[in-house]
Amino acid sequence: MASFVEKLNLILTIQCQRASELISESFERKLLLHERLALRGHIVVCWSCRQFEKHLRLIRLAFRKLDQQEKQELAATMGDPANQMDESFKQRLKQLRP
Amino acid sequence: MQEPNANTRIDGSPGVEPPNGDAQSQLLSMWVDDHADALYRFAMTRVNDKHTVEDLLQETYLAALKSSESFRRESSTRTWLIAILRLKIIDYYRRAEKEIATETNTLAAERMPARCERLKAWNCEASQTIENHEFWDVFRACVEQLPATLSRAFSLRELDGLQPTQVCELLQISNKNLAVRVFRARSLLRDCLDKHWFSKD
Repeated sequence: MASFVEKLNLILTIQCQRASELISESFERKLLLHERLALRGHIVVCWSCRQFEKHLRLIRLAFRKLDQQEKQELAATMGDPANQMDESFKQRLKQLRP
Repeated sequence: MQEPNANTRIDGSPGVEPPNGDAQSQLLSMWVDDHADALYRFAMTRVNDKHTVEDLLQETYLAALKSSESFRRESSTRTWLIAILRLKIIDYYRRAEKEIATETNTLAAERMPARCERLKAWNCEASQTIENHEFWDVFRACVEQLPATLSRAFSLRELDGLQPTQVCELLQISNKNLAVRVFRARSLLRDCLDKHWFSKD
């Protein structure tokens, strides 16, 4: 746990490197209060980090779309006989032991 | 309750003991019946060689059997099995490229450019961009260029939608390490898209 001084230090002195890490982490977890303050304060004044956040948002959106495409692809291959598994292989799979 | 694996719960310590041999084989049998066809098709669209796909499926089910109980309960079985299969496919391609040996060093050796340069704006509507077919060719190419250590973590997180704790458990890495990998993957991907898509005239 960061001390009060460390938290304050982050808020006052945060730079692009740490800010961009926090932007990425904000997609992973809820940021702590002092991290949010530091990041929002930095983003107000930093044009590049504002762009960086927008870009990551687009990438996130693109992955969502890619995920959907994958699922459709998977559904589309359903009836294709070329993609059918041998029944004997299926039985072999069931015999697997670690 | 008539779950096929219900007999693992009789021993008085539910979920703590590893499943015994019999329960494990019932579980496996169920996984194969419910998901093997989908996993097979998923792998075939990516590898397209029957024997390789069969090997990958075996590895996937073996890894699944070895994984922890908690994981099984937390996410849908299909998602979880596909996540493992995806790892196996990534590894398969890396082996093919003989990059796997250097993989462990990549993360440490990689120098990320410091994020201080002035970034250009991406002049476009996000929703329009992702409807563009050409964009997807660039996007997929950029994703494929990511180093293996990064793409393993990143694709589990973004494509399989696993929770960070689940990714950490599957890859045996710390939360901190995952955050670093995901950050680097995003940065590299951003730079790649910037260079090959958003900077073109």
